[in-house]
Amino acid sequence: MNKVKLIAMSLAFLMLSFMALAGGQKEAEGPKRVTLNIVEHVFTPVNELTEEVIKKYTNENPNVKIEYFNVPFNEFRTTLLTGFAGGIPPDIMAPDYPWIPEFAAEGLLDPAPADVVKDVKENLVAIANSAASYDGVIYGYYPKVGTQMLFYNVDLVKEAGLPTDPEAMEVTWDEFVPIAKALTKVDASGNMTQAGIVFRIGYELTSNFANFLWSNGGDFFNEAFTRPRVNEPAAVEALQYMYDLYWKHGAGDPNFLEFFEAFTTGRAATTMFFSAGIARFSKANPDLNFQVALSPKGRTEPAAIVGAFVWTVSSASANKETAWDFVRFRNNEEHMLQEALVTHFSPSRKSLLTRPEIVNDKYFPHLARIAEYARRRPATVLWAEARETVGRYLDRVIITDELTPKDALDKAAEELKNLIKSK
Amino acid sequence: MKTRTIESVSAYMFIMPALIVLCLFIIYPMFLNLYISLFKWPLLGSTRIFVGLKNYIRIFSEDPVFWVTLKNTFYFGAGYVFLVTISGLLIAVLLWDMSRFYQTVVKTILFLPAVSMLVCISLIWIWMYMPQLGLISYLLSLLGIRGPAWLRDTTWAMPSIIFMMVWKDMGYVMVLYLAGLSGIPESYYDAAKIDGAGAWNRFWHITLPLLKPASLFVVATGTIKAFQVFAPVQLMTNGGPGDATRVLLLHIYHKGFLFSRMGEAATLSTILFILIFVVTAIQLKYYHSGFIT
Repeated sequence: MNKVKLIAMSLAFLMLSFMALAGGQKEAEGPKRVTLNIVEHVFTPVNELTEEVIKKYTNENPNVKIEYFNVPFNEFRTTLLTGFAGGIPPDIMAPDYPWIPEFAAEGLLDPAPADVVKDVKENLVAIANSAASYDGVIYGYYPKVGTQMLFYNVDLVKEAGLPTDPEAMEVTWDEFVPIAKALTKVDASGNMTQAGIVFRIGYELTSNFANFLWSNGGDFFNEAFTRPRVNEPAAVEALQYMYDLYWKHGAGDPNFLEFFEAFTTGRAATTMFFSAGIARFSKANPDLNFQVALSPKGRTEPAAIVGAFVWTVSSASANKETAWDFVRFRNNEEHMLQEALVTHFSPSRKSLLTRPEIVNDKYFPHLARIAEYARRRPATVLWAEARETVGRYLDRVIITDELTPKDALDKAAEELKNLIKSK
Repeated sequence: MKTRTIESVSAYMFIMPALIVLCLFIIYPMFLNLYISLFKWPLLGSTRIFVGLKNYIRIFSEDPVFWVTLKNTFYFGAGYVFLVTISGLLIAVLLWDMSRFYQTVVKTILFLPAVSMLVCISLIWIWMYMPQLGLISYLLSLLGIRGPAWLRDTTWAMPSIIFMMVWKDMGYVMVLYLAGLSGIPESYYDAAKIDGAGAWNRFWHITLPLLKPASLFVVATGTIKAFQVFAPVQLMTNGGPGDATRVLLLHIYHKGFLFSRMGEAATLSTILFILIFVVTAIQLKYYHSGFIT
């Protein structure tokens, strides 16, 4: 009896072992388990969307596990740089597009597959191609166009008796001076209580300057990035104009509030910021009635420097194919529209520009028009340093009034020359 | 002999974990830093070119920002160390004669900033320093004074950061001085009183000389800390306006992590190390020679 029991138990064990092995075999034959790491910077509406997209993607692809990290913007670059330097970059990332040349020049990014390249070239606006490229190679999707433009407080403009539609605010430098002056208020002691315009400070001032510089026919470098052009007459004239708005016409004051506080508290009638301002200003003050327009133009066409991010894949990723599959999914028509609606950045997919949600919006039609004048930051590996260098000198003209525009830009050009030489 | 050998081996075994950590995380990175400083070493990519002392020559002769950051670092260091030492000492001496209850309350209040996160404190002080809307500008406006844009004014930006750091650390310095004061025998003061010494004379001839070890500690650690100031500068001004608050460590960070120039960042780090070493050595020398009382 005991023997029978023993044999039965042995047989049962053998059968279970076979079943387990068979099951294991079946699993081994199924799709390969893939884990992807994604790093994005903190921008709540976008992060929420990405999380939602990840959930959808992993439901459709149960073999893919996605680990999603978001880091504050001021730590984002360091996170990516140290990841690359340590040989453990994320599979997928959405870096600020001016970093693409630096990463691509070192072969750290995977060139986009042919179908992504085709999609970018045929279906996205021109700036999306330019922002995601380095040396003629496209490295991913630039889903939303973040242009820097003039934000103006509609109520304050109306109060000053000026027309409030964006077209009326899109003027030349000379035409903008009386507008800015009319929007400025000072108290009995001569202290500014409402600024006509508030610029940004430090290296961020470089972005404000870029719109004036380009709209006056100037540039930071020559085309080959072998010579700085930042002290040429067009540039000096642009900086002189910005300086005059503050120091000659009194439409701005370096001792006034910073742009964000000034604009959101209704103490600045205009400021210059990127598309992110629409969401950020509205969140800080839901009652703020503002609109966007092209920033004042110099001798040539208006210009709008662009910001925003490119979804791309690391060349070191062990799962490039799956990574690109996710990037495609994250940037399909549906998700790009969702991203545009939650961020108020103009979508880069052309087909979305005619959608009713976009056409009937308060801002999108103007954003789309501004995007026609969009220009990318110089596609050089030196841009981070150049931006900082120029910003330091712009500060010393506009904020501290230590140097004349010509002297400041001559000094900046000298430093840029040394930078070019040292690379 | 055998027992001594066993004791030596045991001693080495006991210090081994600490020695390994010290070598791995302090000694090795120091020498690696020195090694990197001799190369053109981009953070990205693998092209590393030996350039000898060229990075040092470039920093000293072609980098105009270096000299500005050096000046600013000394400015911050001098202002911070002087003020934090004086204020900590002053508060400690004033507190010393208070009742235990009041001493505990004041000590707790003043020590709180020292244990708070520097980043949070910096962000709060940005709000306080805000022109027109900030607390400091508001308080000044009650007196009919229009304050400057503290963090955007070339003259005021650095003193504003120094002031915030002194506010944060004076509680810590106060505790160090209180510990020093507790080590001074009361009989010295009694004897001085019998000899007719007034409060000032007692402070000058008894308290201050006997607080010499505490003062050396405060000044030396304060100097090292001041030379390594980074977070408040990065958060509050990012070196601006212009270069008014650009300090050496911020320059190192920018070179290494923003501009991917690790060789130059390592060079600047070596220079910073030498600076701190020399300044601390000078302080120690004067302390031992009795110059610092």
